[in-house]
Amino acid sequence: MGGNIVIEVKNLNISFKRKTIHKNVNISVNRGDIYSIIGKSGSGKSTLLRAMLMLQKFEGSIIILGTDVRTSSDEQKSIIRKQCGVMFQAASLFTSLTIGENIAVSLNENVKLPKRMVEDIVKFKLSLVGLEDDVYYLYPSELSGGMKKKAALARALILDPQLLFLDEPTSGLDPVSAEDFDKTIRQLNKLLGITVVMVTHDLDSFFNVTTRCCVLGDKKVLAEGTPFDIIKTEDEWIKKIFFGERGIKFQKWNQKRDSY
Amino acid sequence: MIEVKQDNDIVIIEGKATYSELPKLMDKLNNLSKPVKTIDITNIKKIDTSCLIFLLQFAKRYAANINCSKNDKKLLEIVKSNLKETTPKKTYHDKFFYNIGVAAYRKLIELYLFFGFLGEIFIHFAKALTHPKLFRVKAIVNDIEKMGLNAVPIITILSLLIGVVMAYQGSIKLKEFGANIFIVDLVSISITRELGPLIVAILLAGRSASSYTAQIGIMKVTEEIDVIKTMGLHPFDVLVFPKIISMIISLPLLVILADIAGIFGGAIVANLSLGITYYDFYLRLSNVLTLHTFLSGLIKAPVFAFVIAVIGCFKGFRTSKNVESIGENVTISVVDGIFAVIVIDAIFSVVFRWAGI
Repeated sequence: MGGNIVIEVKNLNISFKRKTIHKNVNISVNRGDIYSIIGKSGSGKSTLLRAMLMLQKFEGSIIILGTDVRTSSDEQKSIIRKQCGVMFQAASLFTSLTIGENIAVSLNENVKLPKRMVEDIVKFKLSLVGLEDDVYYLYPSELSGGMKKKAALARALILDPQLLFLDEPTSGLDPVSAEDFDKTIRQLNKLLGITVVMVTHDLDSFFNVTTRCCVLGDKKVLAEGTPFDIIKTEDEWIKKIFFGERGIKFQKWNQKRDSY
Repeated sequence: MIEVKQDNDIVIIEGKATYSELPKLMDKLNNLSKPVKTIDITNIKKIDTSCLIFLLQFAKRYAANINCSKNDKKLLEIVKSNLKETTPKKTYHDKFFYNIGVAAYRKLIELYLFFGFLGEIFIHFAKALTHPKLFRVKAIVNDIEKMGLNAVPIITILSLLIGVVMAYQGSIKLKEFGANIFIVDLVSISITRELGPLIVAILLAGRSASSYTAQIGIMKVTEEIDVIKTMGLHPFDVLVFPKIISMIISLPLLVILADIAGIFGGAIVANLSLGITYYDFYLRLSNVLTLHTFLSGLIKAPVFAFVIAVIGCFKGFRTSKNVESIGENVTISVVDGIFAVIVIDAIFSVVFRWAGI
């Protein structure tokens, strides 16, 4: 597992039937990064994430924690999967299970523990993502959108993963909840040393948490590096993000960054 | 791997303490000779939060200290600050009679709601009669194609086979008595009066009621029903009436088809195993099969159709917002549909008997 690179994507090609989504995509994620994947709608951000999660067929190689996921055996894959927590865009909680049961699923599948212990672990994770204990017995349909996302995050964290994949974690949240969510992600990254890979559209969230990122467009990676590197890139679209009307926030962020 | 050593009141834990080792850790710690004053995890290679939770609880129980490295100290603090006292949930013991009561109560409520739904349909239907535009011809025709026309092949084959089987079974006994020609009476009357309508109704209960329930149930889960409401439409107009009307139109037609196919199946067997020509069969048939025999079977069809469609839709609306409940309600709608069809058929038989039809 040596080295600092936890995910390496090399010469990735993905195409659906006749349409090419990715052509020669190369990115790498270091340990401890909060890595954002940004890009236009339809530029294949989610597809890239799905490829990393082994949910999508691809050509090329993706190396996660030192294992090539394309050529690895099922056992190796399952070991990697246990090191990865995933939160999908729509939270995707099992609707027929309570929140507590939802979060405990992979724990119960992997080890046999007394009920009390499982409950304590689950409640700890709930508290970690900022949810109250009383949601434990509720069903997903009884929760608000923001709470569902937090519960999904708690579910992703149950096995103390090294890698956390988030697909648009803050979409559909109000600004305050989104900020809370960012704070939670930063905390998890700092305190538990979790490497975070996320797809995002939310500029605020992007400026708040990202340490490294890549911009996808035209079937390839337009730029990769720290957000600071990215803005120096000469690309029409990238300039629009940061210097367009919405990009004004970037100025503020830059000032804050200098004061650190 | 995890190792636990005890040195008087000091417990030293070494190795990797992750969730997969937690059962072992719990086992070992709980079996130590007490008292334990200090838990030393300074030399541990890796520890995750689930093990820390247990260690903290264990330490608390025996008022022990935890010694750990600087790195783990941070993690420990996070766990400590987020760990709350949990009160064990009340456990319900199996209450046999209580459960029976609850189940019975639920059934009663379900019945109550069903009659409510039925009433709503009638009231709304009366309203719709004054606004004929509310009947969506396109949706009705579409539904007739899907639920009626597309069911033609399966119903034809099924009734043909029923006719064949019945005629064949009957022919053995009839041959013994030399009453060959009575095969016509046997097949034609039993098929037109009972089997035809019943087969079609049961098949459609499985085919249509389940699809109605699933469709409306998923629309409810994805909030499409709410969308319909906010557009100023009534879900009954859009979803329920087209289904009921199309069923009432297509089911009797399918019954006629089933009658014909069944009798033809009988005729084939009569020809092959009893030597009755098709012409003889036809002559006898026109004597035996009176209009009112045929109609007394056909009259049941619209009633079956109505009941099947209403149960299918009702169960769809009864779906709650989770995936499991869709599966559950689809199953119940099929079972209830078939049950209702057979009960109604029995009632018809009794009523016809009284009326002397």
